[in-house]
Amino acid sequence: MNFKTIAILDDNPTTIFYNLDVVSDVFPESKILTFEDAGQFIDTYIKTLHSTQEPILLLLDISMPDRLGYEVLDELEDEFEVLENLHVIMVTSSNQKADVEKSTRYTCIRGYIEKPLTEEMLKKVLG
Amino acid sequence: MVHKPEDLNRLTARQLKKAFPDNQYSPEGMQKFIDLVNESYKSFDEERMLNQRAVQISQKELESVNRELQIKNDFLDSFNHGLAHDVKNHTSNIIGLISMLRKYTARQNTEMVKMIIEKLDLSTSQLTSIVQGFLYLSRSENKVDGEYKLIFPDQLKESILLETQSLLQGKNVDILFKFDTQDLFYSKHILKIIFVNLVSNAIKFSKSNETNKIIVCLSNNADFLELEVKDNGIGMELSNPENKIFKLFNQAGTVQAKGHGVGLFVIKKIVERNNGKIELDSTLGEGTTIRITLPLSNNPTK
Repeated sequence: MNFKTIAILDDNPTTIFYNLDVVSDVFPESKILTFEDAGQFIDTYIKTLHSTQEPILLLLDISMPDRLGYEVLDELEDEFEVLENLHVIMVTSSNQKADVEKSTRYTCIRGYIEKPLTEEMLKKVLG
Repeated sequence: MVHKPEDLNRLTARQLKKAFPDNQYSPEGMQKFIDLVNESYKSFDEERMLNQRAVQISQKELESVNRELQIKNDFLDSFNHGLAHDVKNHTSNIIGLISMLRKYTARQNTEMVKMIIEKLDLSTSQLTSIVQGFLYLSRSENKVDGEYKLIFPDQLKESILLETQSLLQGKNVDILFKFDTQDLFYSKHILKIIFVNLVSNAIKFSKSNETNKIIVCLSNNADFLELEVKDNGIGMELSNPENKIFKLFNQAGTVQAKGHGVGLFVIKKIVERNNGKIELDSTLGEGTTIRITLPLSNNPTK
């Protein structure tokens, strides 16, 4: 699957720096947006990204200080109910079973990747 | 008598013998026997009540010890979880950056290599400060906290600057020291850990488009010493500073202090262990001041 737009949300700037590098190698043609702040991403999605009908890939950090990754999805679902164009990969710092079990509730989650992200893992999750 | 002596309870047998010394029934003997039996029941009752109270008390104690253990357990759980998360994040970054370093070295992109090395510096220094704090905490409570020596302000300043240097890259931050100590005997180790953590936080929360000023103060009198780190950075909104900022790590969005719960937690434990107190003042958009007071009376060399 190809994505014209890819968003990376992580509270750690070094993680963003690294993930951006991996993602731009896998998707050299895509436009990549980065967010350190969950609120900022939610705003951008509601205002602009949702209305574009093209598929959008989101790399979502599970544990952030202002919101958990799932809470970001909850807020977006509250707004739109169905997140048709959003494809989410949860990026975790640990292989937590409870987290993976939660994912069944969210239809937009495509998979989980344990940090650090690699090209191989990204390709594997997206099939 | 109707009963054979071996069938009787030993106490009953003794009481019967006392009431009827001649082994002959008499009304006076009967009265005496009833009195004796009554006496025994009374003391049984008292004993039973005492026993019950003892059980109740030990149950209460047990419950309170249990509660305490439960709290400590929960605390350690979330503590471990937070620690593992923080350490794992930094480690992942370092692993990732090293793989980037390989790639860009092969491509001979020196500009990028330089940038990656800067990021590696930052990640390792963040990881080091977490580990140092935990090494300190894992020491036995009974051990003296480092050596209590005369504090030389200039030496202390230097080591604080050295450990926070890597965070200053790409930031517009001035650090001002106001150290005014007189015959201060304390553990340089403790002062360094506290200051490095507080200054690191102040740097991390500086504003990106403005000149930031961090004022680091240390002063003392005969009874206590005072440490203060004041910044004009992004600040935070805290309706209940005590609870929020020192709440363990960043669970479920309760902490505004981005992912630096570990450093603050370490400081809190150090201050508690040395009978000090922490005051925090912060306004969103204006900056944060953290003031720590430590008594000098517990100082073993004084």
